[in-house]
Amino acid sequence: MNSDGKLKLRKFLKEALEKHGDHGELDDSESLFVSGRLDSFSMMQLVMQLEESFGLDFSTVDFDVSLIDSLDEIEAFVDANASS
Amino acid sequence: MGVLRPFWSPTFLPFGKGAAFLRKTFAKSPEDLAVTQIKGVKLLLWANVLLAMKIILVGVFQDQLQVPSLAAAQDAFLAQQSQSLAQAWAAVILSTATYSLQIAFWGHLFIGIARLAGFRLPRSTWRPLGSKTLMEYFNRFHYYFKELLVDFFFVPTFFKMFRGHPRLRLFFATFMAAGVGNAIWHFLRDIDLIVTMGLGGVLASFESYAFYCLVLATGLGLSQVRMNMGFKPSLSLAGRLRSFLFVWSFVVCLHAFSDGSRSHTLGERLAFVGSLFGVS
Repeated sequence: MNSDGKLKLRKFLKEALEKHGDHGELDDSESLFVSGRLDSFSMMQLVMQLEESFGLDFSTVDFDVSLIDSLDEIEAFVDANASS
Repeated sequence: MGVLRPFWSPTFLPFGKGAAFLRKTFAKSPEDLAVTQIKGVKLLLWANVLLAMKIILVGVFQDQLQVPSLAAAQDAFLAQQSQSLAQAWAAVILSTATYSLQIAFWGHLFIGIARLAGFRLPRSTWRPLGSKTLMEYFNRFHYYFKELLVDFFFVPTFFKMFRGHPRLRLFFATFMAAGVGNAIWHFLRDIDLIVTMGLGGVLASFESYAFYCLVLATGLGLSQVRMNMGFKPSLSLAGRLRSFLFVWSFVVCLHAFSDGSRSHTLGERLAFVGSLFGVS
């Protein structure tokens, strides 16, 4: 994932957090879903965003929330699975 | 749906979602533990405030002002006894309010105790009166039930079905969770009734709840799709009031089909709700 992609992703996650009334800082290694900062519907929005932006196919992945629980983990996941 | 149930969650609903999730939420330092436990105490105090509110509501409206229970209002309607429209509406609204307070109290009790044990769990009910959309209401009202439905029904459907049609995909996955999953969970929860009522009796008395699931799921699915299309609820005072009235009118009307009692058929409940709007 290039820096532009990561920046867009960070913006998307910040907006999702703000929708949940969370205006706190977002560290790259910080848990988003397991910590309860974002809920599972936000996770689905993130999945759709990742599919659209990076051409990922989640139907072929043995999915677990820990795969995309922080910005660092999302980046690693995208790098390992992106088709373009 | 069988998961290891921790000591604070004696119901079929896994508050805290299960061992793997709990392990990740345990306080990581003595300071973290102290903060979590203080939050637990605060939540338990709030739970008792909600319980007191419920008791006061019942005492004032049901005992003093003689507002009937929902079942009694439905019985009176079916027996064609004299009952004013205001009384019937008051019965439905009061039943919705006491049920909502009970659900919130119940969730806070379990999560408060879990926090005392050191688990940093999100609340089960979080400001449902502030919901601006139906989807937000569903998310805020009963978080762990919603999470259960999402994990077992929404996610598998979402990952496998209609991947080329984003809105249909979102609608169908929501429908499978809030409708099909919801109905299956409640049917299985009360499966012991087959012993006393027989399978036919259980299915017949479940039709009202199945109808509730159908309408709820359709409403939530449309709410999801609408948000996905870029709808943003107005944050002005008038906008918030409109959202509140829309969301809670939907919830109140639908409550007449989901009060948990199996004593009235779907047809009887439809006729009762119709009478609230002057349809006979």
